[in-house]
Amino acid sequence: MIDIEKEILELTSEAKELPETMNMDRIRRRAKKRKRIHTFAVVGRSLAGVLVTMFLALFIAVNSSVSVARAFSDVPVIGTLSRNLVVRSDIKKALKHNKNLAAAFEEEGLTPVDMVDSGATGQMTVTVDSFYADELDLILCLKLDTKLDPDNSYFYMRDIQIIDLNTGDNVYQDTHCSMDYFDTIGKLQFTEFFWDRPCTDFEVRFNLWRPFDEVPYEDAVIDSFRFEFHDVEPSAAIHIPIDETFTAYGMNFHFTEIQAAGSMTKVFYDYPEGENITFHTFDLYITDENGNVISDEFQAFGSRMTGYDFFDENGKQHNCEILPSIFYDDCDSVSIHISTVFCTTHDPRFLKIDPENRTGTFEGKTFPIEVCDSSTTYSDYGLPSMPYYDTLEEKVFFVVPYDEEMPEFDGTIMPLTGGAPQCDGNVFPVATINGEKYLVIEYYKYNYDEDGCYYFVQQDDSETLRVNKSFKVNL
Amino acid sequence: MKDAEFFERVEKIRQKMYSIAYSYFSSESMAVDMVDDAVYRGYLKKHTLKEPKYFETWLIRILMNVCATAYKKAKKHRSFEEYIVEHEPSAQPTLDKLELKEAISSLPEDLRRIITLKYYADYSTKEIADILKIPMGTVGTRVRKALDLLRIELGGES
Repeated sequence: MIDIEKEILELTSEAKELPETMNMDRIRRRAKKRKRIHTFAVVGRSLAGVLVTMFLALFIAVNSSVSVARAFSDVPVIGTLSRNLVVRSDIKKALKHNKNLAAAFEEEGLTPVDMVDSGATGQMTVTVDSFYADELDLILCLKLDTKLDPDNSYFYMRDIQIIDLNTGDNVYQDTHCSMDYFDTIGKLQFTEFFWDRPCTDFEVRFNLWRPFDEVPYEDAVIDSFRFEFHDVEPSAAIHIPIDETFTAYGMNFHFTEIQAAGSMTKVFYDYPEGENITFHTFDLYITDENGNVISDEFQAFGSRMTGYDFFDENGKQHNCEILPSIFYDDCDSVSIHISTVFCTTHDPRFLKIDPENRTGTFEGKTFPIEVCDSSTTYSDYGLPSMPYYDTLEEKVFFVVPYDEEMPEFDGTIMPLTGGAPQCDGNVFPVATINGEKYLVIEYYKYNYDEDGCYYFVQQDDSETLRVNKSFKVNL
Repeated sequence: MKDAEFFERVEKIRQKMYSIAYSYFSSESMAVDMVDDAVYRGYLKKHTLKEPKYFETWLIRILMNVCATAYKKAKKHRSFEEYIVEHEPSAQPTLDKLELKEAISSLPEDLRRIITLKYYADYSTKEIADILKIPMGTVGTRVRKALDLLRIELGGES
């Protein structure tokens, strides 16, 4: 029989010879070193855990609502991170463009509609997902899908009209010149319309264009789209009359009213036309009672204007600057500050368009032009037919033959006569029509000067004057 | 317990610790690693030991758990012989020894611990009962049972 205990004891003899490596110095050093590493690891893991938790919390927070995302985006250091964490397209857009819309979207919300129009050709499909409407602004949240090459295309929304379905009136301020730029296919994006008269039943019409510096002008229009809205109740704006005047360049600027809605703030003012001085615009901002800036530079979703002028029924000119909304700021009073005035104080460089003689003049050189107005049509002029164009009766279409002999326009061309919204001559400086290059200027037909001519001035000729004027307005 | 006292107490039982660890792996380097690991774990948790008089049983228990866990892991990935050869190529056991080692390692863990503590670490029945927290009678029963199983495994009679 095996003496198993003896066998085991023999086996254990090698286990009882303590090797040199079992000395206490080494054991002690190793245990202490591992404990130090352990301590660092615990601290590191805790910090990493906290950071991951904070990161996730931030991610959830900034994607929960526009106002939360906005609040975080304004915090130093983490602002950039929080902006990059936003994945919701509507919040991204709101952050990118117009911070005061955050409060409007949050307080009043977007109205879902889900309307679809694929136009006549079906090349593009536009879906209006939702909208926001107040007395000063209509904002559509829409999505573009296309069978055209979406990776290499971008599109402009042009020839925009908003028709009051009850009166037939065109209630949109900025019909001709603004162009919304879309380069994102299949994602929600915003476009806004500064309407003159908010209405409950209306139709939004527009054309989508390819940029006509990339394709022949006659191929630029892709399709026309229309969307009907009914029983809309735009939120009311507040109207606060003011009576404040300040003087710059010898001109008295008279501030007359503030209007504020969820989408924007409008500041109205008048000024007399000065001799040899052409006023362009102000730099304005608004502060609360504590001196905190609550409204400064307005940024529309698209290439909308941030100011305009208009005429009342007596022919008197009035002006308006657009600023971010102060509607949801809890203030008893605000202060309006004018920091800079932009004027042209010297003889400006005019572009004169004489539609009667079909000539243009710039820097002493006269050159022939071609004129297209609404008595003709695009198709008469060799351009693509556009279904709604004929309703834009006031529109004049100047096409200036563009060649090397013609003086070069080196700034944005601003209308000088008529006081219409600005036209951006530089947006599409050159178009190709029937193989010929043209400079394209679009403008209101009725805004000619006393001599029947139209005058434009280069905006870049303007000077800036620091004024630092301010006044208080009780709300 | 202060650091100095902890390591003084470790020094007193390091021989037993090494023998126990060696019983699992038959490898000097592995046994040293296991002792290191157990000492480190004990050092990390020494504040949880309320009665210093139980230091030895406490640390030996830690060591046996460390060894059992490492042994299970090693067995999962390779045969025992490969494991020994890889870690201690110069200490090739004889065939008989290898058979006995394999037989011990194939014992159920509770019986194996008894054999390890009794023959490798020379603990008395009372000390084994304290370490394993079992009655002294159970220690005796398990010793007998373990030896019977080894005899059967090695071809002898019970």
